Amino acid sequence: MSRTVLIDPVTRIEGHAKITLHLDDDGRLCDTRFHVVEYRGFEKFCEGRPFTEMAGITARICGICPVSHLLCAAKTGDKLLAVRVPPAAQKLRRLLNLAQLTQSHALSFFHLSSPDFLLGWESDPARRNIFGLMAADPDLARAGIRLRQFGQRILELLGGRKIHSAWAVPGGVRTPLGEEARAWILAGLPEARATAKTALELFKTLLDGPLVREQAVFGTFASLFMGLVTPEGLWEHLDGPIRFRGPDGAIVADGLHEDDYASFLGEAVEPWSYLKFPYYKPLGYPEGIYRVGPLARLNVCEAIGTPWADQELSEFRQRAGRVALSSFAYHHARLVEIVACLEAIERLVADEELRTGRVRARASLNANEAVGVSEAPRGTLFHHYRVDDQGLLTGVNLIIATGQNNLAMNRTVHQIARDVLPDPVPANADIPEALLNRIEAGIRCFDPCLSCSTHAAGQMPMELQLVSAAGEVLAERRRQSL
Amino acid sequence: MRPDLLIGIGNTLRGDDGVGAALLEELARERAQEGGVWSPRGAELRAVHQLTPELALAVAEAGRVLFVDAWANPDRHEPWIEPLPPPRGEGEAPEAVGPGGHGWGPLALLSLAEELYGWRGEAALLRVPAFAFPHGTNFSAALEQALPLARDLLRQWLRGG
Repeated sequence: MSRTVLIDPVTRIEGHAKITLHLDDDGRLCDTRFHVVEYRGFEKFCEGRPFTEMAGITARICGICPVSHLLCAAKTGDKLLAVRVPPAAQKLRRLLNLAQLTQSHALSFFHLSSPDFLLGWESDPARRNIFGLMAADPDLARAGIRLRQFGQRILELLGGRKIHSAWAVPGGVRTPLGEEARAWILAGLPEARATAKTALELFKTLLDGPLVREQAVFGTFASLFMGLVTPEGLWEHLDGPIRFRGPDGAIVADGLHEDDYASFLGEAVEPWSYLKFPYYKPLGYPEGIYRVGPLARLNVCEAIGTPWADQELSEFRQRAGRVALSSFAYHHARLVEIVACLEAIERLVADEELRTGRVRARASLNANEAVGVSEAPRGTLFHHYRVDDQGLLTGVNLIIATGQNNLAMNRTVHQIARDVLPDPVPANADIPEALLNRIEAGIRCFDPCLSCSTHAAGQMPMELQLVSAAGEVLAERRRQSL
Repeated sequence: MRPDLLIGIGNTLRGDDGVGAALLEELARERAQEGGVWSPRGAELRAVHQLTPELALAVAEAGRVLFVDAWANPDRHEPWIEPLPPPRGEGEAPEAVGPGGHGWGPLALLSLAEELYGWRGEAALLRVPAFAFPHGTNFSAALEQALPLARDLLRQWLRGG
């Protein structure tokens, strides 16, 4: 008799999802599915609107990484205008993205994931969150909040206000960096660096001790990795060619351009999920599985290009390999990227051009189709727009980072379930709490973002079900809001 | 005297879900046009997609805090202001916290501000009944009817009432 274990929803990721673990007639795990049941619908919603509104609209898709959509929309708009963005504006956009990466990674590490590391997978779920962290290590909780605030404040300083702002626009940005903002950033950097150092030291200690096993079973598998690099092959987050590196370290494809994404990225659809399943086309589906995000960016680049970050990257590779295959290494990669961001921010704010240069190129519509790309905290983001001669959108395709990690998240869930569940699963087996905790944590490695859902209607309890092939619920575990 | 803090919550592309954020954006526009601050203490306005931990720093600097949020599945059709109880301070997620991360409720944020920064103050929640959450920027007809009272309550609170 086939059975299904249902976990619904996963906590502490953006949005809502459920997981089913499928057992075959012998009780052996045969398939796992990470379902995304929330229909996004934003692509259709955008059609008919002026492309110039896309930066403002898409920034409102997500409350966690609005800047990623903002920048990608602005870059796509640059190409519809066919303008060359002034150098000062390019640098200001980079500053914005670096701040975004910092604040998003800080939230992921300090507030979503570190309770797992510090309090333990088996600790009371009611306390295995920021409140438990607060009780166990209030200084760390405060430091994490301050680091996230550092990134958030830069976004506000650039955007000029705390209420929603579409500061990046097609052709550049709206305003240069003010002197007050520059001074604030410089003053905040030492504390941000100290927090990053503390977090790295703590996490490396944990990697050497209580987290050894997780590195082996939390999504450790061969896949491709995709990300932007500079023309020289260095770490990149906003502009540059696209590179694929294989699990053996070989560069599989290099110098790819976003305009040609449809030639190397396919998007498969499964009937059980609204989230698409992108794959590397030359290898087909699902063999073309690839990962994006912090781990991929560190894997595809040769070096970062700043001293402290390169030192950390070197240690990261000593621990995880030249190509880190464990999805658990995403956490470490985020911390290395925070260092890279802080060093890059320090360099950028010293540049006079950010305060004095021309920041916007203006033109009317000069193209009817364009593709933009950027690196969001969770990975590479593509925006593809088609517009009519009035600049109204006739087609929109958004390829989000979480979607590109979809295959990898499914693979991770499968591996963790195999590790925790007995094989075969006895017919009268209960659903172990340990399975739920670890699968949640496995998915959190990717810091997936599905937050296009509503927040008011979205509070749901967690539910696990063991269901027979006939649809009978054999066992059930519910967890009310944590 | 510490200033007031108003936090409007919601996704303004998902129908009624965004009413809290939309009301705060409206208030910010009015303030920019009139150039005045109606609260005798001064007021900081925030419109957010969802509550996140660093907002505890803003709470910690405020004397009074008002959250403005959509209230799904309401048992009444009129908005109302509900005083929020003081944080429990037990190192445990308050009951109103959502599933752990980004679905935070106001009580969680207040607890964070209290435990990490010693915040003491008054807090309240303006609940606005919400009925429909489709993709789009329009509110449902039922919510539109409730908006004038929601605006009145917001301004009343700002004036200290």
